[in-house]
Amino acid sequence: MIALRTVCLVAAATAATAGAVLERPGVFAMFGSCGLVLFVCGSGLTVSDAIPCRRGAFASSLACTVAGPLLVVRPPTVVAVAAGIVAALGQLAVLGAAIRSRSAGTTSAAT
Amino acid sequence: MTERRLRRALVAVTMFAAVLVVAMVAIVFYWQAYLLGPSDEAFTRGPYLVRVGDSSAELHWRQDSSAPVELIAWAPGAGPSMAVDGRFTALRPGTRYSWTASIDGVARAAGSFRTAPATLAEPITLVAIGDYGSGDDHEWAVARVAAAQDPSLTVTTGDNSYLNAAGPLLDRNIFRPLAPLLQRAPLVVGLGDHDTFPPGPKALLDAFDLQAERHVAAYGPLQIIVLGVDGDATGVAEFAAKALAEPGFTRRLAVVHRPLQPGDPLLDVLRGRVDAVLSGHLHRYERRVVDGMLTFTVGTSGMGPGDLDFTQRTAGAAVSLLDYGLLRIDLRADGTTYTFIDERGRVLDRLAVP
Repeated sequence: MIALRTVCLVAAATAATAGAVLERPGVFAMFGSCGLVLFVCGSGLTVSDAIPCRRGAFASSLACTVAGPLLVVRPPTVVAVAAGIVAALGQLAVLGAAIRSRSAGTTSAAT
Repeated sequence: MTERRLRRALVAVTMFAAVLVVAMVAIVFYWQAYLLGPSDEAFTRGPYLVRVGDSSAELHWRQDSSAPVELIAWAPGAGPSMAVDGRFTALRPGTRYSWTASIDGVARAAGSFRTAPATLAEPITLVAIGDYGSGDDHEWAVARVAAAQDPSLTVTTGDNSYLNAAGPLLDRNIFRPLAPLLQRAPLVVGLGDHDTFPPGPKALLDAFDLQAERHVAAYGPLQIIVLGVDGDATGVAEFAAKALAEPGFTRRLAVVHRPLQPGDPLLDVLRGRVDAVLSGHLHRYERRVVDGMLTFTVGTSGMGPGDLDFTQRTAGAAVSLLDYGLLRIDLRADGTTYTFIDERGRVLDRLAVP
C-alpha cells in the first residue's frame, strides 16, 4: 500500500501548500481535487489498516478520509491547511516506518 | 500471497465504493443546486386585482398557509405604498404602479395596475372578453393576447365558467388562464346564463367581491354598467336609468350577456347615453348598430362556436366573425377605437368613433 500512501501524502501536502500559498477562491479547485483523492484513497487505506487493526496506520488513514470531504466543502483556510498537514504528517510517519521495516528485511504490516 | 490479494481486492472494492459515494453526493448536489425548480406556489389563487380606482386598488388571493402576505406598490416618483388587508390607498391618479406580494420576505407574486385617470387626457385601454371560461387552449391564447394589450380594465360579457360557475371550477376556468391579465387589470364581471346555472353565481360573485349580477364599475371618467344576462329582465331598464343618472362620467359602456335586438326597450334607455353595448352569448364577434345603438358581441374568447346552426350570423351585422379573440377598446378624449384581435394577435376588425 506504499503507492496509495504516497498518493495520499502528495495530495495532503499539496492541499496544505495550496492553502498557504494560493488566494481564495482560486484555491478551491485545488482543495476539491485533493479532497476527492484523499477521500477515495484514504477509504481504501482505512479498510486495509483495519484488518488486522494497526492503530497508528489506521488513525492516519482515517485522518485522510476525513480530511477529504473537509477540503471539498471549502473550509476556512486555516482549517484546510491544518487538515492537510495532519493528513500528510500521518502518512509520512507510516511511510517512514514501512520503509525502515523493508530496509531491515522484514515485511511491515503497514505495507 | 492469497491474503495479500484479498487485501488488495478489499482495498479496491472500498475505493470503488468511495468513488460511488462521491458520485452520489455530486449527483444529489447538482440536482438540488441546478435542476430542482423553486418551491411550490405560495398562492393557490391570485393575487388578483378586484378593483382599481383613482386613488386605491384592491387585491384578493388564496393561500394554503396562514403566513402573512406583505403587499407593496410602487411607482416612479411616488413612495412605496403598503396594503392593509389587500387594499392600497392614497395612490396617485393615472399612475402605473407595480405591486409585489411577499411571504417571509420573498416575492411570490407581482404585477402592476394603473390607477384611474381624472380625465381622458390620458387614454384608457380596456379589453372585453366573453363566453371564455372553457379552460382550453383557446381561452389561454386569448388571455395571453389580452394581457399583451396592457389594459387598465377587463370587461367580461358573461359565461365566465363552463358548464357552470361552481367554486371548484373557477381556478381552472378563470383564475389560472387569466392570471397574467388579472395581475394587471381588474375584471369587470358580467354574468352569462352558464354562470347562473345551479349552483348559481355566488362563488363567482364572492371571488370578485360583487353583491349582485347587476352592478356599476367606475374607472375615472368611464362608467361601465353591467346589466346581467337579459336586457329585458325585470328591473334592468330601471337599474340602467339610475346608473346613467350618476354624474361625473364622460364615457359609458353597458354590458348585457344576450345581444340586444331591435325593439328592445332597454335600447331606449341606453341610446345616446352610452358609447356602446357589449354582449356575448352568441359565439361570434359581431359589430352591429341596433336601433341606432352601437353594439358589439364578443362571445369568442374561449368556448368554440359549436354547431353552426346555433351560431348563425345575426341579420344586419356589419361584421360577423367566428374567430376566437377579444375586443380592445381605446378611449381617448377625441374618440374611441374598437379593435377586434384574434387569438393569434391579428386585427380582424377596427372601428374608430369620433
